Amino acid sequence: MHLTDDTAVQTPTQESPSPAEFTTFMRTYQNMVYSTAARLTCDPAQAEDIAQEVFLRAHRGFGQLRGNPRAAGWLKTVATNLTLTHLTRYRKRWVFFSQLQNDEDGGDQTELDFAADESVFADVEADQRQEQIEAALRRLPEHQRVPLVLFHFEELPYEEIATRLRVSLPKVKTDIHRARAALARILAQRGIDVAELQA
Amino acid sequence: MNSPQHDAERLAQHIHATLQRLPPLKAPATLESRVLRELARREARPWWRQGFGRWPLAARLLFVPLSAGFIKLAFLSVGAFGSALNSAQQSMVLSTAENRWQTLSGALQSLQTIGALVFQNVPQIWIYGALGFALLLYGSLFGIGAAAFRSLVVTPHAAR
Repeated sequence: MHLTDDTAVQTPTQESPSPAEFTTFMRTYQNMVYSTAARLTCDPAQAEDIAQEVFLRAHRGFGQLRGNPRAAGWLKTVATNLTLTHLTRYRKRWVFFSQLQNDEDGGDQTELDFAADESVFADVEADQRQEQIEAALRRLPEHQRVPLVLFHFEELPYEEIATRLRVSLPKVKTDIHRARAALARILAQRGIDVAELQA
Repeated sequence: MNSPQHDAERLAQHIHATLQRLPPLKAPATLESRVLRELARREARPWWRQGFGRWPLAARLLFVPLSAGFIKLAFLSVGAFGSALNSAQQSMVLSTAENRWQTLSGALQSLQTIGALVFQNVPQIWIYGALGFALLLYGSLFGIGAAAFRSLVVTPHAAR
């Protein structure tokens, strides 16, 4: 069976799940679906709306998702597509103004420090660090955050990101490069070295 | 000493590893109840407001011949209506259309005359000045809109 992101939309329900069964299904995947939307939109209310729509579509095509090992991938793809569609409503303004922003950001590339041997912040708890990284992501401007999330979380190649966002390939590469630098800089301001996090 | 290219690659690796290790965000507690409530609301709709696939079998079976019957009836009605029109009615319809066209063309001619009068009697410098002023206003409003969009929408978090 081949699942596409429109499968559930096109396929009438063969067998509706019971509320208990669907609740279990939602509990398994809701964090993943919500994360995908929230990291792209940076807006909890919009992310919840998108997650709701994803699960409503899943309910319509539940006959094909039930017990399917590819269900997670399908949900993630639908969540990504719906979020990008949502963002696309503002795409023209976003592309235009992000070009202006890019010109201004040109001089902000600073030297980065890597892998210090000791860290004075070694006692920071892991969950606090995770929250700080999420907060740093939220501080990135949208034209940098969206391609960064698509590349590092969704693991889409540069070419597909450029196609999805309808921007040029060099712009995607530049935005992602600047997003990484900006993220490292924001984390450094909070005393977190990205190189140390891997240790 | 590391080259900038090497630094960029290392940064990409570090960022990738860092982000990949982040656990998913916790979905709001309200999401589950929202979805279930919306599903219940949709289930409660009468069958004719749901998708065709969810209609009762008898309704689906009846729908096809009934639709075909309606289409045939529509074609028959159009044919009967066409043949019932006599030539007098046709000429009346045509004359009405002709009157409308004459009114429209008269209005266009009046507009043309007014435009010509304005260009003859108002100094051209005033006209170009007014056009320039309108463009200036448009540019200013666009600039204000762009500044507002960038400060309020593009970088809302940086502004906080």
